[in-house]
Amino acid sequence: MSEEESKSTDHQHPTEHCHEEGHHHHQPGEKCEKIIIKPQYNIQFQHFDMGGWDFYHSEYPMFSAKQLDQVSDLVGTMSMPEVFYGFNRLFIVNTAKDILLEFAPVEALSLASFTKREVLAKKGEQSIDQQLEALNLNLSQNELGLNKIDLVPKNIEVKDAFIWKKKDMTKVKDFKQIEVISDWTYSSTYKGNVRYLSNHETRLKQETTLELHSKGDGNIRIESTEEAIPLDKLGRENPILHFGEVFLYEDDLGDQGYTRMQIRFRAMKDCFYVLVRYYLRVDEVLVRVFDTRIYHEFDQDYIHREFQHKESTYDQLRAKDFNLNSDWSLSKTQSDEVFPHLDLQFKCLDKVFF
Amino acid sequence: MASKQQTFDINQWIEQLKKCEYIKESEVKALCNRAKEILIQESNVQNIESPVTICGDIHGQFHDLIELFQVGGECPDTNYLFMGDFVDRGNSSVETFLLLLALKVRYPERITLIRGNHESRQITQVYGFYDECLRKYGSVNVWRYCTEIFDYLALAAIIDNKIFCVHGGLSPSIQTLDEIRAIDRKQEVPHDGAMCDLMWSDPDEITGWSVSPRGAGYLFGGDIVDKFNHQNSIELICRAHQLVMEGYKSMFNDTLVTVWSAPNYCYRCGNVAAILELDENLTKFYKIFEAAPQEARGPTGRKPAPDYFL
Ligand SMILES: [Mn+2]
Repeated sequence: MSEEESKSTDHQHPTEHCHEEGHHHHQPGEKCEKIIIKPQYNIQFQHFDMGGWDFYHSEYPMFSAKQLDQVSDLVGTMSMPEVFYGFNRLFIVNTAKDILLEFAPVEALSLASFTKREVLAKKGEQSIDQQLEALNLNLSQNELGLNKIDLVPKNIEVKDAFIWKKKDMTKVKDFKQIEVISDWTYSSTYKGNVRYLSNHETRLKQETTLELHSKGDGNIRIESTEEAIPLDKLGRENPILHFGEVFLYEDDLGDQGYTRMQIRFRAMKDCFYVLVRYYLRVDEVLVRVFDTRIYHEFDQDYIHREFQHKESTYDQLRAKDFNLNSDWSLSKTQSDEVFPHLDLQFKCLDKVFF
Repeated sequence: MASKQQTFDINQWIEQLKKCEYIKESEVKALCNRAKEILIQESNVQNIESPVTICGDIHGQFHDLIELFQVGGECPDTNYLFMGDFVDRGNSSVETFLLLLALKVRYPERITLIRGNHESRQITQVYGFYDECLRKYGSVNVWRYCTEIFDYLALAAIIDNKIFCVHGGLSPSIQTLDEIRAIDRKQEVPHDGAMCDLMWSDPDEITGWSVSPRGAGYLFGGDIVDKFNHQNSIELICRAHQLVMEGYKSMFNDTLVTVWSAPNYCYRCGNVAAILELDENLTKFYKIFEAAPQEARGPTGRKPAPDYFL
């Protein structure tokens, strides 16, 4: 047995139950019969329960090239992030209320696909079935409205792009510019998915072997609000009983910056709090953050959410004397460090009643 | 300045660097001067004979480089080709680059270093090597000596005239190896042009050439690789530059391979690393290795304490 074989059997990964061969491509307009089946994995979760809620999360290493190939069609992006944590999940579930908050890498990354963004940002031009088919995101009919996005990120380019624009590509033999169908920065306004648990029991079991059972009929609706999340209730005087950090994907952007989709969550005796953060740094161009803050007090009948977009150019950050050195740009906590210095671009609040 | 000549004890420096102890600034200067004399003799496309072991990005992960030598054999018992990106991102770029450079000076025929896109003044100021030099030596002199050496590094290598090795990939301005040989390489990596492309371009499942959706840098397809290999009587292109979970990735019917040699990249991706051993018949053998054990790198500790993030 070669060294290669002996060592590459990966002990850190969940066991693979079955493996569906090949991809099935569909022409636009062709009826899709949902042949794409995700492989099943025996994902191990850390579990905690508090106040009627269950918290399940998993932390695994990045996907292999083969595993990346299996999900790339599903996501709908032209490339995949170098580091994609395909086994990582966070589920926050209330079985009595039939509500599931799901945080998953395929769903998060899908929002880098121009088509999927379009469908989720607009209201009702296509039929619900058409929308669900275009999204291919495990959304049920009654969940589409719960998972709309608030904005479509603007496309950006690296700092040398202006030099490259001036190049005469007609002189390059065999030049054929690829069609850009997704955001190379993997910008995603993902807030996590709001779902009815009863719609997903089978899927969750298939995908992860986690068995969850809804004990009631849910009725979820979202209302916008002006009311801010009471951050004063989240200080050290309210001790953290459970805490987790779940990475969904990250990428070096070909040495032109850095991007990361990360979730942090914590449970206290009377509430839980989640921060979903998409972070982007494009060297010498800009820093961008899409944050979703999710807060719930156990004795209330709603989940309080705040979505915000903060963004500043390097010039704007320099003007504020923010130090853009490598101590910052290599730091694992760079988003936290730069966050207070970024300009607010957009903010909206809502309440998810259940 | 004192007229006393800097003693040149290369074996002593190698000993020290292998223990991850950095050498004095004056010693770095002497080492770089000697390295320059050697590197200046090398061709842009350095000729190498098999057997040789090919390595990809290291990125300042010093303890993992030591692990690499354990897995692949010590230099000079094993011949090595390192395809660039020695510095940046990791904690020990100084020790990593100086050890490789010291080995080059000590065994010039046994180890070949070619330039990666991180061996650049501009990139090292963003990705850590500059600040690491400043932190460890209190001045930027060591960074200056090293970045000057970067300009002398070969751009590519060719093994037994059959395997072409380069950090990034091909360039539309280059059809033949002679065109690479004609480049004046003693300069900072430019923003575009042949020298830039060799260090920055990426293979992709496309046809022909395309500009990356990022707005800069080329992507090239399997047909481009076929043409280049045919025209230059090459069997394989071997490159680094992109992280792969399995340590290596073969593309285009085994006409191009990516080799990645930084395990658990940035100390948390969980990927394995690979080196590619070629015997005297150019038979390929990938050796896979994991990150050096935690004890080797001293206390860093994982499991974060509960964070009262808001
Ligand atoms: Mn590189």
